[in-house]
Amino acid sequence: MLPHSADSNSRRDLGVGIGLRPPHYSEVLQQRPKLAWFEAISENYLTFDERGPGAALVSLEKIRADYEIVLHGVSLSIGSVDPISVNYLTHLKQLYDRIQPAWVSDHLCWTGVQDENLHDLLPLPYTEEALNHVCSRIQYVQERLGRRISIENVSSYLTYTHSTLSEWEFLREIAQRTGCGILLDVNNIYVSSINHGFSATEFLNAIPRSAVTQIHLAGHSKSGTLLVDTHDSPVCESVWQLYAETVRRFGSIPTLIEWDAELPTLGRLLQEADHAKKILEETLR
Amino acid sequence: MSDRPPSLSELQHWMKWIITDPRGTENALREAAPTDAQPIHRYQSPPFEALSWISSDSHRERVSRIDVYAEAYFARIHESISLDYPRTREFLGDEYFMKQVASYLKYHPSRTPNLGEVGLAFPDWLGSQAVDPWEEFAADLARLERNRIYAFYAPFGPPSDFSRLATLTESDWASLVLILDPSVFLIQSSFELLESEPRRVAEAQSFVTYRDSTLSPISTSIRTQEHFIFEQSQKGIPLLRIIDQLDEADCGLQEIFETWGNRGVIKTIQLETKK
Ligand SMILES: [Fe+2]
Repeated sequence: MLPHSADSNSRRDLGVGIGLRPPHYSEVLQQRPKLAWFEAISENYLTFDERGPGAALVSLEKIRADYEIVLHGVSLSIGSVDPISVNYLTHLKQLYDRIQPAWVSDHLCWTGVQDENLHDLLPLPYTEEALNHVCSRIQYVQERLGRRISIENVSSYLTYTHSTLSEWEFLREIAQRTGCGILLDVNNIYVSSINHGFSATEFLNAIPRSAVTQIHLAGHSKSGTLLVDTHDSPVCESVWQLYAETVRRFGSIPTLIEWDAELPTLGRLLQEADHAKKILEETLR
Repeated sequence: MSDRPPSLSELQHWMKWIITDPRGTENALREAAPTDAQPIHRYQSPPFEALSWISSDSHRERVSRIDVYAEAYFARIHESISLDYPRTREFLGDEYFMKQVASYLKYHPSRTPNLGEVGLAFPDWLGSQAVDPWEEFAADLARLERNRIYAFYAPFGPPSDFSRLATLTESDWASLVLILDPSVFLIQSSFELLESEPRRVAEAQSFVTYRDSTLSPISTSIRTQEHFIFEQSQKGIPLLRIIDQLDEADCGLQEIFETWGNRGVIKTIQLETKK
């Protein structure tokens, strides 16, 4: 485990931020919205041009000059049985060195196998085998990156009959064994609780307060009998309620609005962030 | 059904197969070992069959839950490639374009952490499949669109600076090299690629793509001599040696400097140091 005092990834209360998406770069740079931080997707800045950083990274650096940046990955594939790509970690580390993010994160999932990336957050079985596998890989990644990482619970559409732990027991266990942080995605808890019929409150109650570094909020949509984590709409009322419950349990945790598809204007995103701020303040009052 | 649960490795291999099988979940499950499909490894189930280890009382529900992932897999990559190649998609039509993406993905699954890179081999794949002129046109059009992606992601070059031109001595000219912006990408085609329908031209047409001052990629046609000068300059060849190889005595150097210097395509000059 990494000594917590030695890492720069301990929780800092930055309040409410929004996900930084390329169509908003120029607006952010011109308007300088009143906000402490943005979360950016790490892979968008892992340029395939070996000659140096391109326009996306340069824009991010300009934004970094005025804001805290958190880097959120989607391809670490911490649960995959493929070896972790050293090349990928090297590029991630270079990006971290340039941007100096407030903290970094990725997901509790696997994204591919046999050297193929499916670009999806695929669910793991919650077994002892998977637990040992994931923990040893988190430890390896933290050592290689020289910092603590936070791991996010994903939305899922299926579970496995051979799981011997619940998702929340699994998440708590990896945090305890590796010292990693937990990025609690409240929308994902809600979506999975409906899809698999568990209690979202039971999930929240199992998570140790000290491990939670960040909260995600997002919109989802309905597909047949399932809820799907589409990030294409505002946060729904049930998720706002679950957010208030989360704040009551965990206190003030940096919270981020994710919105990827059907991307609205920057102004609309900031409104959503204001709403989160209001709930945060009212709940803590 | 196996009486022991799958190992993590068995589960992931089976899930990857069922999610990426081009026939879709239900059809793939119906015939897990076809012999005539290509490439065969995409169609054949791994030895461990993991369907029964997905929670549910019904086969139908298990399939529909896997379907969420199978549909999202193709939709996400199709969307990314569509956004990168809008003109190619418009020319080929949505349905045919989608079929091409599906076939491409069978042979070129993503091996990169960045979704934006998945379609980089798509133009060459279209080219390798092309038989008719309209298919060759589509491949070249896609190559031109790929240059726009390359241009956008290219690093930034040195600031524009031609002050040194004024102080060059006679002997300096022999070693003068044009330094182009790193966002400059070139292509030649036997089609007029800026038009929306295929029109084959007698002499190969040249096109340059570069990133302008607002960071937007610009594609425009250029003269063959300009293409040659840019291409050779990118290899570090001194300007006089490039001009020597041109057929025409006057290639309009003054105009090239002015036009492409102003647009930021030629950034500066350098004197080649003797090795
Ligand atoms: Fe999330």
